[in-house]
Amino acid sequence: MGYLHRSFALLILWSLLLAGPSPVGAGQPGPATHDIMIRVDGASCPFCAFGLEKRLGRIEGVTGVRIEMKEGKAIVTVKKGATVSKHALRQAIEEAGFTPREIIAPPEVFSKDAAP
Amino acid sequence: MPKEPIFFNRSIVAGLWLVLLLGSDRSQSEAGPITFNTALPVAKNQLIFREQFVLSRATDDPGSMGRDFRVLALPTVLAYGVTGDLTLFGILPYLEKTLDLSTAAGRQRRTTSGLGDLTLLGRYTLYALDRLGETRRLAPFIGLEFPTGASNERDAFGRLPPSLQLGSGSWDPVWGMIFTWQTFDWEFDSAAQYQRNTSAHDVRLGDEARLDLSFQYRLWPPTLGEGVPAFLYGVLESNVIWTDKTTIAGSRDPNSGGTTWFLDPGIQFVTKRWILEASVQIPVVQDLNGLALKDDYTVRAGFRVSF
Repeated sequence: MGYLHRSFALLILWSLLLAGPSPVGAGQPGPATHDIMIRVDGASCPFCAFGLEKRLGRIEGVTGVRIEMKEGKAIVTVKKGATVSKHALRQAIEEAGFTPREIIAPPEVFSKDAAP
Repeated sequence: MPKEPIFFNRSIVAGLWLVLLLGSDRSQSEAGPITFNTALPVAKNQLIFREQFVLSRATDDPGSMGRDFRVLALPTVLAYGVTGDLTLFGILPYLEKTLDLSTAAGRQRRTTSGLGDLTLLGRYTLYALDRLGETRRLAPFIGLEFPTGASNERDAFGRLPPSLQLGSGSWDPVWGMIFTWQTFDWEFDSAAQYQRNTSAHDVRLGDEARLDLSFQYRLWPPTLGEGVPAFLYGVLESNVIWTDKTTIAGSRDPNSGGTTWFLDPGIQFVTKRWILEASVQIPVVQDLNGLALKDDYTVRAGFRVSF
């Protein structure tokens, strides 16, 4: 039984170390970046937010993602001059298992979508 | 801001939960219930690793053998998001089983340890209604338990009984449906499941049907702040499990099967990347056949990590 206790404790430690910091930076706004605000419905617990952050962080041009859970917002940071696709943003939220609503950002941030 | 009614004061509820938990003696991986699965999504390409430490004891023997049955299980669960709607689960337990009993030759101990049967499941979100701070989901699942655990083990006293074997030896399908309703303040999950057990080595374990309910209430923080704050949940779960009689060499064992209702108070600490949880499962009603051994309790502690 002692061996199993030690193994279980080591497993916890290993997993917590591997979990580490989020793969995407929080993306603080600044003069060299734009923020895109996306309203997201359905994300109502902390453990759900990670998948959302991960999918949005994979989009080309995105340098940071911040989730404001209480307000139902995902704030995506993009470098000035870079563009992202609205379709890609919506798709990322659906791939996380949630529902995207409105997307708000300066128009120059968005690339032309192949699909609406 | 209106004052919360005293019954819903989070400090009082938190205290009551701790008293209940401390005063009292086949899961999967996202935030949600401790003893069964949830319909909450796993993102595409997201991986969740879950480990539990489960200790069960059964000593309430209606017969004359004074049986004392202990099981230590370490079920490992991996969940993978294929799409936002489809999630695959793999569950593989490590088991240590010990049975002490009295015979004409004196007190005997029979024991076995090793990996049990692997279960693979697929779960699909059939229906989702998402609002700000709320989601309701319905998700059917289907899977198969593979005979990876040893099922024909013997010791000095002969073949081990089915309850002591690490695996069933048979290919057993399982299917069911989960409903989840989650808000910022609480979550409710319910699941109905049926497992059809097939035969191996002249033994067919009885089929199992179960109905599970879980209610998780956010004890802390009292109000939500910025970003993604960690949550502390008080949890209360209910499991009603019916098992059919085991058939051995064509004869139904009269001392097997029955219906048990468990209540499980628990606690969960949930962050963005990981969850820590613990619960105690207590049998409230046990309507078992013949001289079937009754459960005393099951203690669980575990964690989940998201990658």
